[in-house]
Amino acid sequence: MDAGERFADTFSLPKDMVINATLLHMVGKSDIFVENFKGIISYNCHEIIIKGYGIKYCICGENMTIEYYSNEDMKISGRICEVKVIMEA
Amino acid sequence: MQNNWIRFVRGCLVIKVGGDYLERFFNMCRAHDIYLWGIKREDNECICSIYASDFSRLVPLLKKTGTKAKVVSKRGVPFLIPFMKKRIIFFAGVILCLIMLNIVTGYVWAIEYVGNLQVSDNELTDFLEQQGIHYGMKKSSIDCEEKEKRLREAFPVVTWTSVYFEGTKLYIEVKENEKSEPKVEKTKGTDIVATDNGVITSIITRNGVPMVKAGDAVKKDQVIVEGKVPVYNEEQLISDYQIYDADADIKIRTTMAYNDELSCSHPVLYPTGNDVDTVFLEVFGYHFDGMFFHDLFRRNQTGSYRTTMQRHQLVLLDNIFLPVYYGRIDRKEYYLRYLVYTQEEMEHILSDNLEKFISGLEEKGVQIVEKNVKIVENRNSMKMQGEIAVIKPTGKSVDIAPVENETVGE
Repeated sequence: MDAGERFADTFSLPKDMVINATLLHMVGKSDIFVENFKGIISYNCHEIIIKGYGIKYCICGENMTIEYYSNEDMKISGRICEVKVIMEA
Repeated sequence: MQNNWIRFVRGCLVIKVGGDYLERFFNMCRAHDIYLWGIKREDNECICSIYASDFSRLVPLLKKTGTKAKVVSKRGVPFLIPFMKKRIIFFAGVILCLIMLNIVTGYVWAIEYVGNLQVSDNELTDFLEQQGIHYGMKKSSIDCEEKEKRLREAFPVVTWTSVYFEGTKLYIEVKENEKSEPKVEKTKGTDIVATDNGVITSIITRNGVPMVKAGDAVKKDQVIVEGKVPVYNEEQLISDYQIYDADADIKIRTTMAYNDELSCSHPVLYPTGNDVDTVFLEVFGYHFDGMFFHDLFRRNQTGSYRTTMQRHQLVLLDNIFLPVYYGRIDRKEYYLRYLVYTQEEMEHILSDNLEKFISGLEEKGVQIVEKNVKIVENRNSMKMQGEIAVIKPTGKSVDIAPVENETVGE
């Protein structure tokens, strides 16, 4: 846990504000709302790789579609099987 | 996320984007605040939706990322405008019609009374006029609950009321107390008096003391049945009186005067054949019909007219009564001539009149005993006069004088 996370924990502050953490909000197994991210690295029907701040998220599944994609957030829907976190070197 | 309605109003395009750097293209759209939705991968291409206004902003991004965009379909109001422009009058008419309908349905155009048996429609109409309710007034200005209260106050026989609207029709629904009879005040007693001079032929008394018997001659206003019934004590003396409403079936033989006069000359209407049958339209009290144009081209008219009008109100969906009336006007022209009856004709008419008079009496339960009429001929008229002897029901109730204490106990 780095200093920023400790700071946020100590003062009970939201981590997405303090250390720019990406928010992933999953509803059931079909929808994921993503906020505070940099962009899409890769997109196809089976996999979407999202770039966060110093981290990547790989969302795997079938029939993956992006319901909307805006400056603030995005919504992914489809049959989601797996959400992987890939740490950047 | 934005509402589909907003997307439809702003107008959107479904585009197919193809190229090697699709992800970069999406990220650049995001960076330039271009909203995308419905992104779906199809092999090497992506289908997505975009606002029509943002499409021109895509051009530099497409160039930069080396992708190509193709419009698949267009949706929304901006793309309907050319279609609407060509039919602007139609759409304006539709909108105007809806506005008019909205305005017109805010008023009362018909009133119906439901459930009134003892209180007549005319009485209710008068009551509404007193309360300031009339055709063509705003529905919102009528306080239904208050009017219901007033209605119950105005008509004691009404036990329940409901004032409500259905479309533009105002319903006045009432329930009356069926058991209520005219309030019978503690009776002061009534006598039955004769309505005519004559001879009593039969008398059946149900209440009271008969003062005459069959065969007695009575005069008008003479008491036939007394409502004051004496109560006798053990010594057969009157100790008290019980007061009743006298009730009896009485028949009297009497004579009725008959007088009928017929003038020699009588008016007869002759149609000229210049009949006009036209339609009319009445909108907001303004009347339009084809009669004006007809009269315009036919100036030399001298006859009189008999006009009949069939008037219908325009009703939408059974409940929305509009201030529009339509119908037919049938105008028949005629001229008046005075003809003279022959003597036979006059006698025939007078006899017919007498027959009608007698049959009218018989319908009322009057029995004709004897007819004694004769025809008298004058210079310009003929008269039938005489007397008819009849047997008819008689008697009317009148209040009896209050019992004086002095008479009691004699």
